[in-house]
Amino acid sequence: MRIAGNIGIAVSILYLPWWFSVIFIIGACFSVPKFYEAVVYGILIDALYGTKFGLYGFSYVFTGVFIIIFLVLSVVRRRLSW
Amino acid sequence: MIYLKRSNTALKKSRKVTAIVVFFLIVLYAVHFFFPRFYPSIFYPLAGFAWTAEKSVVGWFSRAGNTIKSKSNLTLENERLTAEIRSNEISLLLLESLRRENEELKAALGRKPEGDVILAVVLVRPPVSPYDTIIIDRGTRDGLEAGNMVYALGDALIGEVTEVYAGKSKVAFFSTPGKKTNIAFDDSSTRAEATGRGGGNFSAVAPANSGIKEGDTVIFPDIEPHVFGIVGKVVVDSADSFSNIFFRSPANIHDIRFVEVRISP
Repeated sequence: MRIAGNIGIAVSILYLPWWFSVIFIIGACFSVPKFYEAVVYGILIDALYGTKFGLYGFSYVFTGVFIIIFLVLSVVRRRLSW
Repeated sequence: MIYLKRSNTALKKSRKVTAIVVFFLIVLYAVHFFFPRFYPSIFYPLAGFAWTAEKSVVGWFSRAGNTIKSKSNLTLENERLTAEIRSNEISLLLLESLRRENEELKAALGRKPEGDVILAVVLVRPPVSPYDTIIIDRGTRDGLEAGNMVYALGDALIGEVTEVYAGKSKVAFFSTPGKKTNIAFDDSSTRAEATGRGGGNFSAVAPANSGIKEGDTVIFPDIEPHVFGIVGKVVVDSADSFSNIFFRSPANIHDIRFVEVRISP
């Protein structure tokens, strides 16, 4: 399941609009325990598509956003039970 | 009775694993921070093959879709396009004559643009790329360098090459959010600083009495001026002596399939 999810996310980063990757990663952080790969994908997106100009001068937007998503959803996941 | 608490080995192990993973992520990030070209130089050759394959698959489906279009629709479209081409040809004749005259005058004064123009195929564009960037299939092997200007639709300046690899390059659009570029308004000769707003959109501030209006052409001031954008909206506050001008690039960055890169001689 985890490997299939990782392949899906990697393909979405290369081929699909960026919001698909974000949705998949949020879903993976919810459903997979300790989905550290989210941060790796953030670094990968910034490396593949980002430039020194970034967004308003910040070049590591996706790394930062995915770290926040990972931390927040880890806490949320721990407090939820299903 | 006093019982000694058993050490929680599972928790200890979990913490150890977490620490190792966090350390690994920090190393990954540090590599990207200090050597920003490292990951792209590994991933572009791998991903480049996949992007090319994806293009051929998508291209096949697109061609298959075209063949099942109804013949009557195609005939109508053909007639409309023929009429449009005839009208454009007449305009082009005048434009070509003016361009030649312009070049002759510049050559007489010893001023002419330097460098050759090469065509590049766009491999990745927004919305796949979340930033305002595209990846093209030309690189150092073709003579590209960081800072080369990139054009679409023949004469519309859209961005500059920021990173060059062996067979791929990354191009940042001038509309990258927050990026500033000097521009001029063709009709009023007013100069201003354009700020990128993403997706081919820009904003600029100019004196309220500069006479800039919707539909005016925005150019990039150079020895050979290039179209930079078309003014879409001018917002004038009666209490302010400046107006906010919103314009967009004539090229739709979501549809660009080919670009031209002017390389240094």
